[in-house]
Amino acid sequence: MSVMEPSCPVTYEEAAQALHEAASTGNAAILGGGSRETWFPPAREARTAISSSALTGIVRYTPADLTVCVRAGTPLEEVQRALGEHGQWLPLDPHPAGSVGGVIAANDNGPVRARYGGVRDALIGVRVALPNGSVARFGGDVVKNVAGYDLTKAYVGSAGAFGMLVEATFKVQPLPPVVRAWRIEGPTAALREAATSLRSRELPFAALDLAGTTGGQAWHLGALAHGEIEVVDRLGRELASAASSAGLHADETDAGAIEAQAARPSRAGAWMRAGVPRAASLALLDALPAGVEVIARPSIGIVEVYGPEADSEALGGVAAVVAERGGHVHLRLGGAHLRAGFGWWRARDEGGSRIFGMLKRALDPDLRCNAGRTVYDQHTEEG
Amino acid sequence: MRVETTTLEGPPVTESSAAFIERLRAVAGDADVLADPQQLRLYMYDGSIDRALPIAVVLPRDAAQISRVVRLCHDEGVHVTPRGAGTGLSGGSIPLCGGIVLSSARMKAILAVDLENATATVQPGLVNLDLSKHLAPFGFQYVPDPSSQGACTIGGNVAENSGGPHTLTGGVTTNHVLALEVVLADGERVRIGSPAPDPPGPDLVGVMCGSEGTIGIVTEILCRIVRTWETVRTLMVAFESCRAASEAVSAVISSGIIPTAMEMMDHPALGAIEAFSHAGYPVDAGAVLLLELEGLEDGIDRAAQRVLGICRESGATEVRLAKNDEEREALWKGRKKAFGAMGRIGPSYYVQDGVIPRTRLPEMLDRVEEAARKVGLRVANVFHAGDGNLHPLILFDERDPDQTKRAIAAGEEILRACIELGGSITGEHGVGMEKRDYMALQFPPATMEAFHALREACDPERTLNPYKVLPSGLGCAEGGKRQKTLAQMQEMAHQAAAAGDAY
Repeated sequence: MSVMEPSCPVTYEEAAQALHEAASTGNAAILGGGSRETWFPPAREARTAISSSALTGIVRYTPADLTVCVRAGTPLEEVQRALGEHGQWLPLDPHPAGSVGGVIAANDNGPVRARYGGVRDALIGVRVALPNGSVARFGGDVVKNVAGYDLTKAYVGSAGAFGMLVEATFKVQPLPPVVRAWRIEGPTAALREAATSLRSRELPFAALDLAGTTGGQAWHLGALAHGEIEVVDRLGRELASAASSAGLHADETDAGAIEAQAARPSRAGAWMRAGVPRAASLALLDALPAGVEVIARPSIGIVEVYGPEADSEALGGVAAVVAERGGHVHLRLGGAHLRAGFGWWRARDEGGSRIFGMLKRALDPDLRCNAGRTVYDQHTEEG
Repeated sequence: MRVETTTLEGPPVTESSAAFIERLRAVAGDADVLADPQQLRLYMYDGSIDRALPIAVVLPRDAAQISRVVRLCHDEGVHVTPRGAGTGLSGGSIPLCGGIVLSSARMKAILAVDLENATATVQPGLVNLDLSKHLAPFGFQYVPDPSSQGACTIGGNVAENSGGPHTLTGGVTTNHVLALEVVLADGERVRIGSPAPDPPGPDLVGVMCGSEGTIGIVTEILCRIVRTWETVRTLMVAFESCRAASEAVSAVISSGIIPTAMEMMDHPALGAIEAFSHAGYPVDAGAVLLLELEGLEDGIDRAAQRVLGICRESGATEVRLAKNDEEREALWKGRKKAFGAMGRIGPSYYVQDGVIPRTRLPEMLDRVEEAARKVGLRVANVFHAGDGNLHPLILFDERDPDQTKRAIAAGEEILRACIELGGSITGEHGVGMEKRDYMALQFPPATMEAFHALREACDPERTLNPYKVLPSGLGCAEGGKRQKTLAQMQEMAHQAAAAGDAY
């Protein structure tokens, strides 16, 4: 956590100038709105802090082009409101929503990643303030674009390592005409049977979230359907049939229930997010220690493990299990003890740090921006 | 733009190049190196208008061999130009100043298919369509479908970040690549990405896709595959003009329906395609839209009727819904073979692939028409209307140097118009050699500086696919002399490196 009061530039040029000045004297911490700040290691030896939180507002929005360009500090919820007025939305539903720049820099997403993909699938352009004092633009406003290096992608999950995001352009989607949600309650084995059957048929649910506490009996499968009425009805029938084959029953519920469930980890004392090849996501549940809360997204392979800070010890064992299954773990929130023992990530580095180093040399050659905040800095430090 | 005809004799075989080829044979294995001038000629072309001969071609069988070859070339200052099927349209696989070509032709295996995880592990030389054919019996497919998919390779698709008609909802190559094995410029082998979602750290796979073989050479690809949709509806709609068809495209999308494909062909294109493919297009129409809806059976007929209704309201003169797979295939065959059909109406064509925001289509098509008219050439348009990705085909005779010059002038004007309208000079064909000098028109100096800096950071010795993507301070086309001896080439690379020039 930064103890410095960050400067909050209000124009792109000011941001670039502030970063340039900061970089000429030492390391700089580049911050967003702060909602995800503790998910990443603090910027090493930062003497200055600069935040994109005052860079807000929508820059361009042409509904018929299905693209929107916004300043990086704009709250995601504000973007969704503006799009909603034209019957559109940006299909990203992370918790907390936070700012657009934060969602990109943390590569965050929520339940609807199952249907709509992640940040990299929606983001088509960025503008960034670089430590050399310039403002560079990568990508653009068009949905297909292969001119030059796709450095837009480098900023997805960059945690500020390559300068400050000041603007982002996204592809957006029409709002689904019908949204419906269901909840199936039952024993974990039966729920997993239902979830596996739905996943293997690749039915286009907007979200499938299996949630419960390991070792406990009160599990449920939440399902969300988006689309025309015929499609939503069909998905409802498929869900009912999968439930009944497993001896269970699907009840219609409020779509907000899935969102409320997905928001829980961000309010927990300790929260690990694991990614595994999706077929391993349900088997992973057996290997978790008893008594931890879990949301598993079996159609994509995301497993959120969370609980009160007191569960820190139990969570510590999760990473090894995930690694065995070819996955990775990010400890987003954790008590001081767990953090001290675990750090931030468990992930394989098979040479990615070399490419990370090349990007760093190109965009932040003096290594001033958010030093030590990404997994690759960590690997580099650990040697 | 450089189209002057190259001397086809190739670089002189000097003592130093003969000695280099010996060392190359020692490292790569004798059987996998071609150096016979007759054989090398096959590697001087791609789908663009540039030509150049390599001093040798290596046909590696695995990543370790690629790594050894790249390391040798890196250490000796010899350029390496990676090549898939050579279907590229921007000169990306042309060995501009000689050096070696590294062909993926012998690495075309499907290494693994994992239906549970919806992935396929493939070698870079695998032909795009062969993956979908292999997956079809399992009910799966690989989404990106460039028109050349029967020949182009997935490695080439990754290098160019290729698209295709069905990328409107499905996304382009980068959206279907989960992980890569790559050989870097110094021969080091690295793996990036993951079979698991959202690996921590920046999206390095995304940076590699579309880097045109200048950051590394892809040796293995973990592809995302998807279940083939339950059903499909293919619609052909004719309009009096491109303007009316463009307005229909925007109206359909504004209605909230996003078809999986929205392809447009204008009047000149229709005549040529119909004569070539007998797809059943109305040749007297001003423009034809080919639309496809894919999804669950439920509601798809109502969606198709809504699309047809919107098209009628936008002035459609004829609508047709493919009744069966045969009709559907016939409609697509015309579109997919469209470029080949241009031979019916002109000896050569020069194709651009600029992109503009979809709502600027009508205006842009007027500008295309105007650009061609100004130089006295004809133009046909066949393109991905839903994405705003144009493919104007400027018709000319490449045997006539004046016509060639005029075709290039019109192409340049079209690219400038794309940039002016807020678009990009290339949507899926890549920059290659063809458009590198236009990059600075599209991007501000800060961006160009970052691109050059990245190139410098990735390949300080200038080993991988030099003189591509970025404008060159020291291009070997300078002075009109295209082919260099190995020694000259090494000297140029050395000078470029010393001057801190990116390429």
